[in-house]
Amino acid sequence: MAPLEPQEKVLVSEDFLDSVHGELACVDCHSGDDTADDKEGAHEGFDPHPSINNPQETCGECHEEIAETVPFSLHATLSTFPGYLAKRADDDTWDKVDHGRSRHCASCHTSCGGCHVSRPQYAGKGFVDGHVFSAKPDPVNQCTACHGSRVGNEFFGSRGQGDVHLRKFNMSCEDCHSASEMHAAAPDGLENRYHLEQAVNCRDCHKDLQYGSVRDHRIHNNKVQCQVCHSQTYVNCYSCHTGTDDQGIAYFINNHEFEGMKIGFNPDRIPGNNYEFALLRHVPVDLELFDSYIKDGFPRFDVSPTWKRTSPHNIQRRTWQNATCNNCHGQRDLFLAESDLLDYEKKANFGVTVADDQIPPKRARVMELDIDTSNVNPARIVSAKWLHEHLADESVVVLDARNEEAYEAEHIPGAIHLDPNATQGLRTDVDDAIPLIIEDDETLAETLGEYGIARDDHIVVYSNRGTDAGFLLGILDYAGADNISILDGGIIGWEEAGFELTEEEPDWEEKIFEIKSRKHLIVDSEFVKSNMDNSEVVIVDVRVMQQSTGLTGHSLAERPGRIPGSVMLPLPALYMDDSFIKSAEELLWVLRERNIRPDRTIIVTCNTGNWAAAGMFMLRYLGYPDVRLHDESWINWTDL
Amino acid sequence: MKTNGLEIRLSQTLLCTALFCLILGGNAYGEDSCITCHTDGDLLEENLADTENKTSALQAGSG
Repeated sequence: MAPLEPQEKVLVSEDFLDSVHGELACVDCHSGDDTADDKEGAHEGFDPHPSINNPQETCGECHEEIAETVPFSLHATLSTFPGYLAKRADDDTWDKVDHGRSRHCASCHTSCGGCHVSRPQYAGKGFVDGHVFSAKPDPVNQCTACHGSRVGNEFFGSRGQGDVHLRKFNMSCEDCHSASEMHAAAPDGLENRYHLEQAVNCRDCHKDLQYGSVRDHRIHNNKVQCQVCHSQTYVNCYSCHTGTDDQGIAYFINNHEFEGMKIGFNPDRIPGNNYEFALLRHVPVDLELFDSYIKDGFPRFDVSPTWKRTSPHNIQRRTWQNATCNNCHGQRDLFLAESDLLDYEKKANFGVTVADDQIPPKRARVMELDIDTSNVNPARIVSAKWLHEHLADESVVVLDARNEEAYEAEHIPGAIHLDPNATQGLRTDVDDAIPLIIEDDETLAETLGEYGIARDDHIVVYSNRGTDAGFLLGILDYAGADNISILDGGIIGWEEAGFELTEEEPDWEEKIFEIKSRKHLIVDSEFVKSNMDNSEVVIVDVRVMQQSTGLTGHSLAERPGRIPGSVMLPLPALYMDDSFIKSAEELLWVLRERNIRPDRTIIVTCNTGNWAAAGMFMLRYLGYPDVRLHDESWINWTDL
Repeated sequence: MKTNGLEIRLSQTLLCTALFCLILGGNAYGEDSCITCHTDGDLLEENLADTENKTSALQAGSG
């Protein structure tokens, strides 16, 4: 979501003036003085947030029933949040804990304006559409402006494939989360949002599943939460700590986040959600969460689990865990174990962990998945252990593809910093005739040589997110390097393996990179256009879906949208957000499910070729024989 | 039915009032209303400074 300029935030459009709400005087809702002839005078007594400060007298003049309940809605009050914190605190600590909560956790509240007119306060405010009131909230500028790190990322494919409700049916948030749910007053003492009478449930649309044609629904009905079978991996957060910086601004830090999935016993069995097993997500509550306000603020920490029931918004009909019974049955790693818990949270999660003998056993007769991995090139992925053992090898060159700040803080010993997003000489400039395409052979070879890389080296690349490493590896592959690998787990995996990091910059000598560019790997927009209707060609758009569906655009593109007929498969379907790479079997299965088959010509495209290059690297690692990079990508496509 | 002069004058007044409102477009804005500034993008740009970033440099992690 691009930030708004100060004037954009308050610029009223002609469309608003022509609308029903535009017939009101501004001062009717906002107070102030519309007869003043200067800003100060006009803003005397001005209320920028009338729907928060005075909903009944403003919105309620016409929307009386809604204005009666919205001030007590979950979005306005976040009422269930203090409930959980209060359970963990006690009478002696609660006031200080609540003070901390109000400074750090309560900023996400909103009211009518933040869903129907402006970006919410937490997202920096500002009109979404010139003050025009929209009955349906904007999923990018409003809903996921707050619900971004989990819901938004999962839904749009910043993590995983994204949600089928968007991809296939172009559904948005309000298609499931109705106005009656959003406007409903939360009763006193409401346990959590799932307990709200108006809360949406899968079965609101998907009715009578137990009588349908899907055998697995009949077998698992009322035993297993829908998302256990139909969600993809999701973020889990650890150890939130709060504080105030030296400028007096409140902040929080999550010490650790990782993408994963755990099934556990449902900690919140209620009518309509009385499953035995549910997906659990680790929430970042910590013993020391509000230590800057009060030490030992949670004497009753163990009363509530830290692995909570979750409903990831990344639904797919077919997922790896439902691909075959034994991808779930008998899979110890998929179920939350006591060994997954940190010491301080073992008691809190006692009721949700699944012991070995409680895991649903493997099924004797299952359908085989028949995934051919014989063409996978395993050398293209190296482990932290392997790299540690070979760090001193002369033929191994390690490249750090992160930004400069991250590299200078710490990096793998001997790693050369080469940020593909910021290094001159890898791609053309943004001002060039065809911007951001891979450079000519001479320039590319010179650049790679300057960074101490020879074509015959074993080049290992890592980053935080695998996508940056994949991007650089895609360029190296094009340049003719054969012995290229991505570090599984990136720098996070290196650290978790217990290996050292350093601030020390390595010495290296420039080399000659004898380029043998694989020109056949790159196709231009004319080629793509001429093959849009070719059934032997699959065009894969690896951008996040708020871009490929046209909700948002790239700053360099003339318009939002995507190439007609292209398959939307966000790159995070192939790269986990902590650089760990899923198994080749799972990745090949995902691609097969999306009909991206190795017997076709696969053209990978994105906005500028960055993610497309990373997608090309991954597909070639998986053994796809004919993968092409649409290097010009969308920003040049829209010029056609 | 006969109409007297008072009724005729009242009807005319009401008609003029209705026409006056119609001409004004039904909006409640006066000539010096908020929209004079808030519909002028150039004016707003000249007069609005960048607001100070209120996010701490120490802020990190998903919310």
